[in-house]
Amino acid sequence: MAGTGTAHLRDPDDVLMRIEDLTVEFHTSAGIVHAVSGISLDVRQGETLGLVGESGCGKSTTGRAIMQLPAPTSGRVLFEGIDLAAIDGKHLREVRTRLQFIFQDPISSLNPRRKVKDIVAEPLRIWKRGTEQERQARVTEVLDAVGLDPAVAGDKRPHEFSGGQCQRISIARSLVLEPKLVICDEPVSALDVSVQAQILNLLEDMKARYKITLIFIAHDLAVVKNISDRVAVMYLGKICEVGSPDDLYATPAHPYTAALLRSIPVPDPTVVPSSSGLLLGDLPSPIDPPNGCRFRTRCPAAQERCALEEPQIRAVAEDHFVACHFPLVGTTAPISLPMPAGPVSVPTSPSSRTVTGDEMGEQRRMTGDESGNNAGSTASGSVLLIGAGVTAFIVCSIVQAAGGSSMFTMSFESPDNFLLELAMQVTFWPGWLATVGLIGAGVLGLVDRDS
Amino acid sequence: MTKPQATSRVLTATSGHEGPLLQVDDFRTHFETPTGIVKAVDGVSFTLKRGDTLGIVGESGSGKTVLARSVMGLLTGKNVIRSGSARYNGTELVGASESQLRDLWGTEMAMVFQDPMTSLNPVLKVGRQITEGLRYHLKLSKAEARAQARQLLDSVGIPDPNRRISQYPHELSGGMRQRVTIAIALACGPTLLFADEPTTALDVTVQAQILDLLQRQQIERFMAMVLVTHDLGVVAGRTDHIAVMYAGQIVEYAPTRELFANVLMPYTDALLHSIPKLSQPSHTRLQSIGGRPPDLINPPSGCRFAPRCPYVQPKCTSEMPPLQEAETPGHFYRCWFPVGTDAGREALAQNAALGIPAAVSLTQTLADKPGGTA
Amino acid sequence: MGILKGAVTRLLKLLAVVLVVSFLTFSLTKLLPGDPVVVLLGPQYSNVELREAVQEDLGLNRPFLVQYGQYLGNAVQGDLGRSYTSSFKTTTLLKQKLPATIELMLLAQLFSFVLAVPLAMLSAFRSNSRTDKAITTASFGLIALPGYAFAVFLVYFFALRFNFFPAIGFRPLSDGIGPNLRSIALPLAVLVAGLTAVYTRLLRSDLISTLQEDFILMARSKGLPTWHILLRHAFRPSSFSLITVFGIQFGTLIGGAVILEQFFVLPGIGSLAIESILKRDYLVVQGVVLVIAISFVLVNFLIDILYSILDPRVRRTGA
Ligand SMILES: Nc1ncnc2c1ncn2[C@@H]1O[C@H](COP(=O)(O)OP(=O)(O)OP(=O)(O)O)[C@@H](O)[C@H]1O
Ligand SMILES: Nc1ncnc2c1ncn2[C@@H]1O[C@H](COP(=O)(O)OP(=O)(O)O)[C@@H](O)[C@H]1O
Ligand code: SF4
Ligand code: SF4
Ligand SMILES: [Mg+2]
Ligand SMILES: [Mg+2]
Repeated sequence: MAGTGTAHLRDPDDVLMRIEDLTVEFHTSAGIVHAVSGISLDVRQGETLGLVGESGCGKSTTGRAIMQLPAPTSGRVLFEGIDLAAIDGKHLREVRTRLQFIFQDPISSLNPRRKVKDIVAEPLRIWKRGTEQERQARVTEVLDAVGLDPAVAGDKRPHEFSGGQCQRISIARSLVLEPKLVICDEPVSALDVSVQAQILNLLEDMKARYKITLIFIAHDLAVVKNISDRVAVMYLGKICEVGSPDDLYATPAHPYTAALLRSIPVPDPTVVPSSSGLLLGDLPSPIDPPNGCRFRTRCPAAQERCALEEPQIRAVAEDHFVACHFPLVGTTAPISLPMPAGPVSVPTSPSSRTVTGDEMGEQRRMTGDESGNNAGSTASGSVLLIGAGVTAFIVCSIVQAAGGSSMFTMSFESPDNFLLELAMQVTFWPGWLATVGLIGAGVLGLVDRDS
Repeated sequence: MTKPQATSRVLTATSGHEGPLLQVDDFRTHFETPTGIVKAVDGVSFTLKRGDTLGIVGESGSGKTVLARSVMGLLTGKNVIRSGSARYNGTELVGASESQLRDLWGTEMAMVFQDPMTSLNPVLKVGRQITEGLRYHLKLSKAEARAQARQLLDSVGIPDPNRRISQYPHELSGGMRQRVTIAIALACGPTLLFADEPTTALDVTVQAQILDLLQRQQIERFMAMVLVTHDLGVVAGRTDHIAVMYAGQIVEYAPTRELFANVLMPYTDALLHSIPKLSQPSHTRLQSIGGRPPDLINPPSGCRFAPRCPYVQPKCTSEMPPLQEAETPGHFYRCWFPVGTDAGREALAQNAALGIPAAVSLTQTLADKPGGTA
Repeated sequence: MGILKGAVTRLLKLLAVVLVVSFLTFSLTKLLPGDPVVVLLGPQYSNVELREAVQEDLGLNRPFLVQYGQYLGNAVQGDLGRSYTSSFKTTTLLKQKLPATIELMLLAQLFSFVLAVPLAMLSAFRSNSRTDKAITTASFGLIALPGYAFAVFLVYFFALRFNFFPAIGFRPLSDGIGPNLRSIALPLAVLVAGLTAVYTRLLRSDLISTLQEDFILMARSKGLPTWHILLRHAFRPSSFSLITVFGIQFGTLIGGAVILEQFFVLPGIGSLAIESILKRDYLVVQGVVLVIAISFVLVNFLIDILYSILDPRVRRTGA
């Protein structure tokens, strides 16, 4: 595998959060998805850790595993020295107030039916912090801090705001409980460059003002460089390289980092984009990742050893760590890669399979696919429900015909007529309710699918 | 950027016609909505030669997509009002009937859409989606069309086309899907290709691959290409001209190198400043553009950028600046106080002196960075 | 492989549904008042010996589950017991009544589908046009109009006034196609009208949303003709709710056309159900419910298969 090891971790007493050997696996019908495989990271108080990598490499999963949403398959998450996996639910919820999460899609992550001030105040209400006045004051303060006019914005609802403003609201909401650590999952990916700059500046301001620590997840390397104090590059569930941004971007040691850097479009027409040294192909499937170094199927520098042995993270310079057998450090021009003899002919297992639609990151816009998948099951579920309802209808009719109505003149001479009548009524109403309920649920299922 | 002259495929379609392949003149597209008329594209003019690439840049909502789709004639619907002129190869597209346009679609002009996740039909095999155009327009037989499709898939860099051709879109990754949509667009050999944010939904690594592919195909086929994006980085190295759009208008138009070397329009300048750059050290403060684009139903009567412009002067709010040519021929801009001119410097200094925040922070940024654009 | 496995598990699930339904009807008919022995014996019911003999004969005095097991065992062998009120086997009764029901159902489904698809396409493609409005209004009208009212109207005009079709009765296929079709023309028309309206509405709204999709724009930008886009690109992804409701209608039409069958005096399953319910002829009732349940289940199964054919994304998840 590519990049286990803890050489890059710092003194545990000196960090706010430390994850050790974190592994997250998802069991799916296609097999086990190895979303995150044994990564270790730490972040100091007041630091911003940038997490970069291609879509589907496990950045969001890592962020969510820190929040224990869902809890990781294995590994430890130490926040202020406490192992989050070991504490009970109540305690964990309490810890989560100091750990906040900001999502990529600013608009859909806010409840459309609530007013902005209620959205922002909600965490305070849940945690019963302060009096109503104190809460309002706090909401006013954070709204103001994120650059929204509390008097105007507070009474509006999210859909009345642009994407950038919604992201400001999300930030305000995450700040209201005075968190220690805020995990931002691609907070600017859905925004325009001009708005992106506003949000990045805002995050820097908030960091300075509220002394928060940030984990900043993004796929845009320039954005990550701009905001981070330390950057970790991920590939297919593994850490490739960790270092300070200026170092790591100037002298990338990992071939993957180098390739990522080369693929960034530069807003300078004198730089002619060259196609040499670009990464080819797609991310392999996380269901059966390549053995040895996970990057070897696309690595221009791969050698036989890379397939046999997983590289361990080691230092290549002061505070610059890499998980590669043949790091590029020392070469100022990253393009002169040590080329393997002939094409990369490492033993290829089925792992050269590429990521298919639904194996990709959840934030890909896959509405089409998802509704499609649901379409079948919801619809057939609906058919079953409606079928059951109709059956219930028939059964009810039988019941009704059999006893209730005087229209059916077959008389019951027997003395337990009254009891029968009672039994009738008892079965009758629930029966009809069930009928209506089942058919209704089925139809709703269909209607839901339509919308 | 240098491009070889006409290569493998020679000008067949353009033979009868001298002049630019696409000539757009005072082109407008408005939408009637319950709240008023949305002036999504409001008086745009440009020309495009065969073999050239035009980059269209602007924030979201500036009308890039509407412009591309409307020029091609893809916007139908009763609430769409197109006016002005768009000539393809001498043929007027505004007012042309759908069936006239259909004869051009696919064979003469084609489009690559933003989101490859939604632009392929989920229930049809990839091969079928490529071959249907070939069979309809070029009257190829089934076998010929399939062979051609395989070749197309191969040429857009899809490994193992034989297998891919009988797969469904959901079985492909995002990058591969975008390659397929490019193959579809190229299938019938169009001479004009619109690419509407073809890489916005993709990862950087895949973005670079796709942009490369588009550029290679464009050169090989000697096509004209309109590359729409919101990322100045994407168009910088890959276009001949750039048109910057703001609120439905072109606010600056110039050859790519000229534009980056001598930005005149404050909006373009602001866009450039707001991009985080790899060359800057970490934690460099970004120059953001405050506020947001204007309402397109009632745009400001003067300069549409005035409410957000650090250079704004009273004249700007009363009089709309015309699109005028700069000293450098071929460089057009729409501004009374252009960046880098004495008038502009003066306007900015005045505003900074008045303490207008946008002007103050821009002045600071420029002072921090002596090599800046002003 | 995935498809096959999915199909097998689905089939098993559906089998379970049939079992549950049969068990429920069986127990309900047992729990309910109205002893079939009363029906059989009439006034002689007070004769205890006779009563017990009959109960013994019918197996009614055995434990409930044993009775059910027996019923089920016989049912699997195609024996649904004998009617209490007539000497006919339940299966014979069903065989008598099924042809009319099935013919009516199949033809109604066929005609309404064939009519609804082009209507919906026309309506969706030119949405908000005059054509669309006309089609929409007509289908709303037909949905709102109760079937029997429409039936009265049809009978009045086409049977009584102009004498085109017989007002009531059913001529089996063995009497020749012409007489057979004429005999069911009017009920068929009533069903087709209602179903077409429902299908048109359903398909129209799905088509309209599909036509907004990017891939339709993409197909248009290829320069393909409109009919091609509607048929090849828009129809399939829009057909899922249509197919679902189409399937449901199969089930409901088998047992649900009661009023129509009564009105036109058609020997169908619906009328059989009503008759036997009224007569406390529980074995027949159970038979009818079983037939309805099985047809529901079968149709549901076929619909699921159809889904996976129509939508490749369902295929893989094996949902
Ligand atoms: N609930 C889940 N079930 C199955 N697989 C999952 C689940 N969540 C994530 N995955 C898979 O885990 C891998 C990592 O996903 P993750 O969302 O962390 O990626 P990411 O780096 O955040 O990507 P993006 O840039 O697209 O957001 C992907 O292959 C993804 O498909
Ligand atoms: N069908 C439509 N009806 C009304 N307004 C529209 C329609 N399509 C686009 N617009 C409006 O036109 C403007 C430009 O949109 P668009 O071209 O998509 O922007 P861009 O591609 O630059 O992000 C936006 O304000 C958008 O809301
Ligand atoms: S050189 Fe080997 S170890 Fe290093 S990244 Fe490439 S494949 Fe992995
Ligand atoms: S200086 Fe005036 S004219 Fe020029 S962009 Fe600013 S507001 Fe518009
Ligand atoms: Mg993610
Ligand atoms: Mg757009």
